[in-house]
Amino acid sequence: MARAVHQSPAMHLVIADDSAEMRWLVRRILAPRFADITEAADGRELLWCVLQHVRERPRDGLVIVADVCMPVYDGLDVLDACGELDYHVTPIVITSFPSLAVRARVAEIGGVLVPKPFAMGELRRAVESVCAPLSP
Amino acid sequence: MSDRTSRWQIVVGCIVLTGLIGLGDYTLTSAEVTFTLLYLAPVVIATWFAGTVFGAIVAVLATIVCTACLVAGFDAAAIGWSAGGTLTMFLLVAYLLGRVRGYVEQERRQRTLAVEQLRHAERLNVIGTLAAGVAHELGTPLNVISGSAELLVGATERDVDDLSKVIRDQTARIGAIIRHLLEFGRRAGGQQADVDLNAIAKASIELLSSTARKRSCSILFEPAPEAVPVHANVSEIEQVLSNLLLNGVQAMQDGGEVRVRVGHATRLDRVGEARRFATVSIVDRGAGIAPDDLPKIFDPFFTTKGVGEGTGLGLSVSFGIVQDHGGFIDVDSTLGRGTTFTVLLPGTRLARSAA
Repeated sequence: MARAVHQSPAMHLVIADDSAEMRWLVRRILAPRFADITEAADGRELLWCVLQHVRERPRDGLVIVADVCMPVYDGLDVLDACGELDYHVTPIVITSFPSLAVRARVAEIGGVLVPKPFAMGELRRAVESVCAPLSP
Repeated sequence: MSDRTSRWQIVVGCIVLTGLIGLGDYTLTSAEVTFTLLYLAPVVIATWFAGTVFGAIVAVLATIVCTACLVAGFDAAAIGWSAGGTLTMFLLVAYLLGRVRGYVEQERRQRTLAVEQLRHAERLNVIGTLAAGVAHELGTPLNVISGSAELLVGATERDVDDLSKVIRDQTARIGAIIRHLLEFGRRAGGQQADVDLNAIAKASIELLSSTARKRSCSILFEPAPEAVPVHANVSEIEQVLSNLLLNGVQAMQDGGEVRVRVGHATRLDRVGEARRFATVSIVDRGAGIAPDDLPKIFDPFFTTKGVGEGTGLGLSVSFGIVQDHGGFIDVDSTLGRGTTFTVLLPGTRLARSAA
């Protein structure tokens, strides 16, 4: 199956978005690329997913696709915290309101910004751009 | 004219005036001094309301009249002192009044300007929030629709069914958001009638009692003993009360009692006059509103609820409706202890005659 060719067992994906439909869509787009996908519905769950990944699979690469506006903690705050804790995560930030402030913070974190609504190809390209340096 | 020059003019004017009044006291009887001072009143009033030129004309006329009165029994020196003193005093008073009036007008202009700037900033802020809210609310379903459409290419028959259902659901969601937005922007129309606020409150409670029960809440109704007539659009006020009730019920996560109290209150209206209002208070013992959030609760798209629970438009729509009725919404909240929302609607003439 074509999907298996792209699979990289060492890559883990966390999808963080407060909208279940959005998580479903991102999962459908990126499922062929990742063997292991976890979903987070808010900032706290995202943080929890990252901590769990660092604890259990510190050697595996972690790709995060996170929304900015989320309940509890916002996506950028969690990604900031990950940076401060020295966890190497590669974030793709999806947002429907890419203001200058958001762009600046994403650049600071070292992430890739994908404004909503995005085409499937855009998200796939963003994922490839962050995965290339991580792949063995 | 610089400030320094005008200060010196005031000082010199005061010295001259003091001297003249002193001399006047010496040469005239006290009754004449009183007379001189008394006729300054129309001069001052004329200057204040109609400007310096009109004031000067009034002063000249007053001086002539006064002089004519004095001519009968006093010598030329006394008349001279009286006329001179009066004119000097007029000039000084006119000058001082002019300064005060200029200062007051400048203050008023600055205040109007500041209020205008504040309103402008507020409008921009609301537009910004609105744009961010619309972008966030519509961005997600649009993205899901466009993504699903892309996935349709080469999808299996079962996938096609699933994807088209997703597209239908998301389109319906966008439709609902747009309807809410329209409600927020346009509330004109609808019939207003004289109705009893007790009845509207009762109808709203009935509408939400099953939702409240599901969340182990009960709604306790405390109607006013007599009818509370208001001139209002029933369905709009029902919408406001339902919104507030739903907020109250949702705030009480551990269940409990939400009270709805109908009554009267006297408050200052928008122009600062005490007025009698018909009131409905919705009292919950829920989480309360954080002081930082309090100024924002009526902003469109401001919400602390989870996704799908609220669009952040309920309170802003309610606020607009109540404002259209000439009333306002009062909030009293303590974090951790609960919130009281009070809807105040102007009492009708009927209400006053009935009371």
